[in-house]
Amino acid sequence: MKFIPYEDVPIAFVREGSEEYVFAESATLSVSQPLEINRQLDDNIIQICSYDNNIDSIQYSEQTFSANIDTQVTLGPSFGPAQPIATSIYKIAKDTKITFPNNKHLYFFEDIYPNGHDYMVNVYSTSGGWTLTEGEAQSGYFEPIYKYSATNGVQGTLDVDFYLDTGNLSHFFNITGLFQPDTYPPIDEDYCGIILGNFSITYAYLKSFNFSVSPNSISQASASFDVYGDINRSADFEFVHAQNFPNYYKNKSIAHGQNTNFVGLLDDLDMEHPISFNYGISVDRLARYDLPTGTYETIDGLIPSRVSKKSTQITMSIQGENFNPSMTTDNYFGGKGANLKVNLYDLSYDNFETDSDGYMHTFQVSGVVNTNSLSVSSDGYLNGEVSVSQILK
Amino acid sequence: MDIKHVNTNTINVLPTFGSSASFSSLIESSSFGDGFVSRSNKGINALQMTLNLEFKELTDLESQELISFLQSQFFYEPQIYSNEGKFTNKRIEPFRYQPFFPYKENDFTCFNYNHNKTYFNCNDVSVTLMSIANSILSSVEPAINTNAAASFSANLSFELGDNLKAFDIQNTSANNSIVISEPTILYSTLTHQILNIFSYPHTIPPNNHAMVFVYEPFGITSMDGLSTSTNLKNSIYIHNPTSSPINPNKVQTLPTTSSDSDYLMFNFRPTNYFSLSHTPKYRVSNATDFYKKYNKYGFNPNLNNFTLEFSNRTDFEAKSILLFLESHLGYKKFGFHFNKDYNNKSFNDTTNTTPHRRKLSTFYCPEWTHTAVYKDNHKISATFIESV
Repeated sequence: MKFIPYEDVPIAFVREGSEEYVFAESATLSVSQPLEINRQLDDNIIQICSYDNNIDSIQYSEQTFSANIDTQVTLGPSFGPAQPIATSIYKIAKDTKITFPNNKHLYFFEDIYPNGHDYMVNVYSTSGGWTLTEGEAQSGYFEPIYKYSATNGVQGTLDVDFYLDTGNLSHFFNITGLFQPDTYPPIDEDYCGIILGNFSITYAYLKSFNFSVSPNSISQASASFDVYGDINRSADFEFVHAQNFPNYYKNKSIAHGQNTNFVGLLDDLDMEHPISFNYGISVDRLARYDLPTGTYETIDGLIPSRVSKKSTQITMSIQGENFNPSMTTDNYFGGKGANLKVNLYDLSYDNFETDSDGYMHTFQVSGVVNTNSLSVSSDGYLNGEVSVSQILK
Repeated sequence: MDIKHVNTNTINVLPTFGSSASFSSLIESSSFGDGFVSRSNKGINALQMTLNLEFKELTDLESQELISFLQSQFFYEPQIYSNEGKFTNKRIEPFRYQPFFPYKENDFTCFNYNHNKTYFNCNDVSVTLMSIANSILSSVEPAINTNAAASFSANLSFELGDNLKAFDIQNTSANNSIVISEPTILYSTLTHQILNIFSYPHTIPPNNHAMVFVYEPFGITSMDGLSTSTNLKNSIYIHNPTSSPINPNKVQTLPTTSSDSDYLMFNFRPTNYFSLSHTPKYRVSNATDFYKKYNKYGFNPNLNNFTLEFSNRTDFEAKSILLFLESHLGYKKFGFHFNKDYNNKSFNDTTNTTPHRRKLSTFYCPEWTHTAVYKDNHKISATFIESV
C-alpha cells in the first residue's frame, strides 16, 4: 500500500450556466447523518416456547440435545402464544451463541434477518446429552446486530481555503448578494453546485466566508458550505477541467494587500496604519425537509426543499498601531459606531496578458465596536486590535 | 383580522417531518359489580383521527397561502335562505386532504392553527386537522377467517422441485377473487410456518388454481394457508391496507370459551425502556374523616395501564402496527407479551383465568399517536389498558 497522489485537483463552482474554478489551497469535504440505534424490549433474549411447531399445542417439554444436530424451536414464552424475533435486529449471524442459565449454550444454525414473522429458528448444540428446563429456556441471551434509523437528512460540509478573484467573488461568495437582480424578497437562498476533483455536489449552500489582508501578501480566503443530497463520484476527475472548464489553466487575478486600502479607520477607530485586516460574514441557515405522502422510496424528504437564511452577521477585525479604549460616545450606551470599508485590489500590473483587474470589490461594515485590545511584548510592536460587528439581516 | 387573502383551494405545501396523527376512541363504559366493566363504541364515528401538521421554514408567501386557505373556511358569507326553509351556506364544509404515509385522503376541517414568525421571511405554522365523519364500518376485520372478503384461505400443495419453491394455490374463500402480490404472507393454519410470496399470478378467480413462488425458511411441502392480504380489505384511515397483513397468531392458551381464542396477538415489541406506575383497585370505608379502612376490591385489582412507545419503526412495520390498532377500534381486546419478567411462569393458564394470575393478558388500546420522525422512521405511542 502507498499514498496515492491527488494533485492539481480542480475545485469549481457551478450555478445556472455560470461556472468558476478557484485557485485553492485546500478543501475538506465531510458528510454525516444523525442515526439512532433501534432497540426493543427483550430483543436480546430468546425464549423457547416449544420444540415442535404445532400451533394448537404449544407446551414446553424438555428435549435432549445432540451434538451438532440442528433443532427447530418455536420462540415465545412457555405455553405460548409464540412470539417472533424482534424487528430491531438486522441480523443474527450463523453460529451466534445463546447463553442460558447454568452454563448451557445453544447456537444459531443459520443467518437470520428478522422480518416480524420469524416464529421459528433452527439452533444446535456443540455437546450432547443435556436438556433445558422450562425456566432456563425462557432466558437465552444472545448478541445480534441491530438496525439503525435515520432521524434527519444527510448533511455535509465543504470547507475550502482559496484565493479571491473577481469571478468567484460576485457569484459564489457573496452571501448577501442576488444572483438574479429581480429576486423578491431580496434574499438569495439558492444553491450552487461544486465539483471537487472527481466528486460532484449538486446542493451546496454558502454559510460563511472569511478573508484576511496584510501588507505585501496575497489575500487568503476561506468559505464553508452546507452540502445536501447525493455526492457523485466519478472514477476519473480529469474530465472536469478537460471538458467543463476550458479556462482551467487561464491566469487568475487574485487579491493582494499591496494596493488594497481601507476607509474609515482613522475617523472611527483612530487607526492610521493597519497591519492586518480580517473580514468575515456568516449566515444561520436551517433546512426544511418535506414529509412525503408516499413511502421512504420517494425522493421527497431526502434533500431539503428550502434552506432558509436567518441572521446574517459581519465581523471585521483590524490590527494596527493605535488603541482607543473609549467604547461610549457622549453618554450613549448603544455601542460605539464604526463605518469601515475595504477596497480590495490585485497587484494591478499594466500588462494586459497578466489578466489584471485592478480594483476588485468593496466590503463594508456599518456596525459597532465589540472589542478593543492592546498588546505589547518585548520582541514586537505595539499592537492594537479592534473588532467591529454588524447584524445585517 | 385576516391575513393577506391569497386564492388557494387547498393546502399546497407539504408538512415537515415531526408531524403526527393522533387517534382516540369514544367508548361507552358499562360498570358492573366487583370492578367489572364492559366497553363498546359510541356510534359509527367513534374512532377519531386528528392530524397535527408542522409546516416549518415557510416563506412569507407560502405561509400567507396556507393561512389564507385555513381562514377562508370560516369567511363570512351573506346567508342564503333556501326554498326548503334552511340556510344553505352556514355549515363548515370539510375539505379533502392527503396526509402523509400511510394514511389515505380524507375529509378534514381545521379548528386550530398556530402561526409563529421566527425571522424575516421565515414562518412556522402548526395546523391541527380533524377528520370528519369517518365510519368504523370501513374497518378491516380484526380477526382472520371471519370474513371471506377480508381474508382468504388456500390449499397449498407442493408442485415443483425444491429449488423453485413453487406451490399450487387454490382459493377456497367464498365467492371472491383474490389478488396475491408481493409481499403477501401466507400463514399456515396448523403451525407457525409462513410463506412469503415473491412471484405471483396477480388475480386468482374464485375456486381457481394458480402457481405462486415463495420464500420459505423451512422445509414446507404442503399446507393449508391463511392470509389477510386481499384486494377487498378496507380501512378507515390507512391507505392500501392490503399490503399490510395482520398476523393471525391468536391467543391460544386462554382456556374458557371459544370466543377467547379469537383474540389476535399484538406481536410488535415496544422500545426497550418503559415506566410502569400502578395503582391497584381498592375501596375505602371511613366511619369518620380520620378512621379509614382499606379493602381489596374486585376480582382483578392489579390491572395495568401502559403508555408504550414503538420507536424507529420502518414504513412497513409502522403501517402494520397502525392497521392492527385501527382494526381493534379502540376498544376490542388483543393479546400482548409484555416484558418477560412479568410472565408468571408458575401458574397454569388452564386453571387460572384472572389476568393477574396468568402468563399472558389482554389489552385494549383507546388512543395512540403516530409521529413521522424521518424517512422510514416512525414513532408510535400507545396507551394499553389491561382488561379481563
